[in-house]
Amino acid sequence: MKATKKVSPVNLSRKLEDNLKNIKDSLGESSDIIIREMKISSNANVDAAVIYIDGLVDRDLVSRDILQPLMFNLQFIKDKVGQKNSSLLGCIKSSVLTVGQVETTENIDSIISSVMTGQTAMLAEGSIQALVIDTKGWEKRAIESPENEISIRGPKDSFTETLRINTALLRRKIRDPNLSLVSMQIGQRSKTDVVIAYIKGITPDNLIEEIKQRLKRIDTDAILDIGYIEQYIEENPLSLVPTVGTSERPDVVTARMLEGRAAILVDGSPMALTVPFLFVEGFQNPDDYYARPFFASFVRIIRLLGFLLSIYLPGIYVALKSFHPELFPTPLLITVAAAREGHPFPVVLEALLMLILFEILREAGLRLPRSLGQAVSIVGALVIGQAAVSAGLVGAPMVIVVAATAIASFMVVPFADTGALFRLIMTIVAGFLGLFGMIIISLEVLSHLAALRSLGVPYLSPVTPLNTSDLIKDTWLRAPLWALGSRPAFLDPLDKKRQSPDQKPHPPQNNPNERKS
Amino acid sequence: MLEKGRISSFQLSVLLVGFVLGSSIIITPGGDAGHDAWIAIALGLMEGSLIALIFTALVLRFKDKTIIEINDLVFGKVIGKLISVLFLWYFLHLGALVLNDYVHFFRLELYPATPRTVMLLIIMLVCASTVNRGIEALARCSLILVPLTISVIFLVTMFLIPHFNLNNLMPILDLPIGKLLWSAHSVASFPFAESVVFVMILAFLNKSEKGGRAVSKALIIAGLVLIIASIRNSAVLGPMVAAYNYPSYQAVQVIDIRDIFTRLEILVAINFITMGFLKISVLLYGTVLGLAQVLNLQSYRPIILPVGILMVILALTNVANTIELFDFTHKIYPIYAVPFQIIIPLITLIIAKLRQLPKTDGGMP
Repeated sequence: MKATKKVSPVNLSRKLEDNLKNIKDSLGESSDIIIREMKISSNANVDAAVIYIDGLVDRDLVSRDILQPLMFNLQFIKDKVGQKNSSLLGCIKSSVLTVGQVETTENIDSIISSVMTGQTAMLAEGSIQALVIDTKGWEKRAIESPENEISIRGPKDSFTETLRINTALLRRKIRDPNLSLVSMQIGQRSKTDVVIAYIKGITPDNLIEEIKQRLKRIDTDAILDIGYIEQYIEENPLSLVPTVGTSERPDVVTARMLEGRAAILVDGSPMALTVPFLFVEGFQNPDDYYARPFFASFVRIIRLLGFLLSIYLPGIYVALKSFHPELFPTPLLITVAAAREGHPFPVVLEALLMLILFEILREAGLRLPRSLGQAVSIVGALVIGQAAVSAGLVGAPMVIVVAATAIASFMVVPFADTGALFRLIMTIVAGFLGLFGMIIISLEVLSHLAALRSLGVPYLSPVTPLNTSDLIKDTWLRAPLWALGSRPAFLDPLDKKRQSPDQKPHPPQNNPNERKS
Repeated sequence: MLEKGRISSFQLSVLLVGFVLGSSIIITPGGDAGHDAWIAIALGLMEGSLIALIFTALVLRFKDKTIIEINDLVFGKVIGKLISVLFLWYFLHLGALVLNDYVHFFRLELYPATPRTVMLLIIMLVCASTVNRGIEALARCSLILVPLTISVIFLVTMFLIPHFNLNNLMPILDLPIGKLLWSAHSVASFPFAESVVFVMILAFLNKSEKGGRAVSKALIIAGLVLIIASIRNSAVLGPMVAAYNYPSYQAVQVIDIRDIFTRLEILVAINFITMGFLKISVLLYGTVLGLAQVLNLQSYRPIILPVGILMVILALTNVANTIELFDFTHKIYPIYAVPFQIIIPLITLIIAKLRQLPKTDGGMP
């Protein structure tokens, strides 16, 4: 890692040879660094060099708009060299190069860092300045449809690994000039570009200040993914629940920014962070807003139900079976007892066995090469389902319980991993202390969540602390868009009004086509 | 200030409702009044509200001061501290009593084999960790738990309507007046006037002028819930209601919807766990914060666990068995609680008025 070793700031000298030697020393022997030396005057006495990294630059751009003009304008450059009052590089910048963004610098360090980001540096004999030409253009993935956050009616674009494309996706959704993109570099070695995106005039200033503070605090060697940022800026990093939201969908990020949140984008990560992230956000989905309100509200409640089931169902079954069998309706109790006839393990052990087996299958299915995934799912279905029951390892009701739990656990994606841990805890506790233990653990979790904050906003808002209007309009229910007149108050947006009042559509008052009876 | 959190008057109300429902959700108060229990509760609510008026007036007079600081101001450092310690004893003892209610109920009805100590320690750990998170977290918990509990109470009451026999409530006012008044007073002392522990919490209201209304609103709501529960229990169980230790629990056992939803009394038990959790947490919070103020500590957090353990030990040792517990709560407690709930706050208020405390800085006499 010689290339990024810190050197004391060195200014360019007039001698091209010295400069090139300096730069070569810092950049090292890597094969992808191209230093193209040339003569750029018809009397062949002006040496120049162009430095770039192969693979990071757009080769067409470099040869067509930098090398070609430099070499074809020999006479022009020769004339300019003769004139006293004009600098050579200034002329080249203003009259020769046909690239959009060109800057001058005098410092070798800044040349090296710009070359590292895919820019091209140009040095000339006798000049203590250098040109830094923006030629970034590496191979990148095209914008594809989102893989993890599926929406039925919504837009089908998603973020990619290239920061510029991601910011452009945001700009295309919000043409307001108030959309601010504050950028900084994090990582001693990776020097990753990070952008804070927010809408000036909506997002509170102290939130942006706080985010900047937390990002500036990060002093690590590399930021390889947005997940690194997430773990460094979380308010309570030891909590089981995430306090930072992620999304791969530009429309989701834009919607959150419009509510008064801020987004963080990282070069090289096809995800965006949004803060503050609250508990209820995990249950909201873009389709809720694109579809009509009734079904959207219904689905939200179903999601909550599914989430609760995915955490509590195995625990409840274990607790009822081992501590409170009287709670089963009598006919069901008889069936369940019959199904467990001749099974050796206590019910809590059965439950843990099946849950762990399910987690193993899930992880294996996720990591395996795609071609093998099919095999795993067939074997898994057989093992979990038929075989375990007929071998007498677990009772048939347990299979149903675990299967229902597994399906329900995928309904609320942001909490899927948290849910898996809570589910195991609940099951173990249910085995020891029954429903009493489950309630006690739930109380502990509740008080933890109640004390938790995400960037200063209480995690359980607007449920507690209570904000009645937000709770009714856009938490478990989703009011019609025309009724969502103000932004969520718990985010404390600078501009509270989202739309002008009385947006409810109504039939025309004087309809000329109306039949007169 | 030892506590940095602030709560709104609405949060205070909800927390207070949870506190009052606390263990009375399972041990419906006024049980010795038989089918007239609801009248006893109504009268007790009135007495309790009057008592609450005394201590809210006292605390709100001093705005952001807890009773410990007020005692120091009113009685001076030495006597003030002694009176504060009396209060702390009451909070601690009350906490131990609620813990006992908890454990005896669960040992009798659900977990006959689980050791008392284990159960007490588990509850105490959860309460201690909540108290450790401060008054804001506690108030926010109550905002979720109390509405849930009240809706469950209404739900089971709906389910029980087919089993109502309103003749069970007749004849109204069947009791000799003295017995009724005693019963009403015992209802006032448990649960309504137990809210005297909020002298530790009223100081943290963000708008102290709304405190009085918040307290009375909360007492009335909790009182209404208890009256409904009491009428329901009498109507369902008839004359047997006085014979049961846990009438709500017994009444809900009657529910039977087409053989599918039976034995729903577990819902009552769950309600009891959540509300008892709130009550114990509030009492632990009051004790711990008060002790920290008496001892001039920098933070109340390090003494939460020791005081919690102390409460557990007190709960383990102060009553030998369930009979003794009920004997104490029915016969001795209504008198034992009077000094803490009425006399001391009243004397403090009178002296504060006579000495024209708190003195404002602007040179007022």
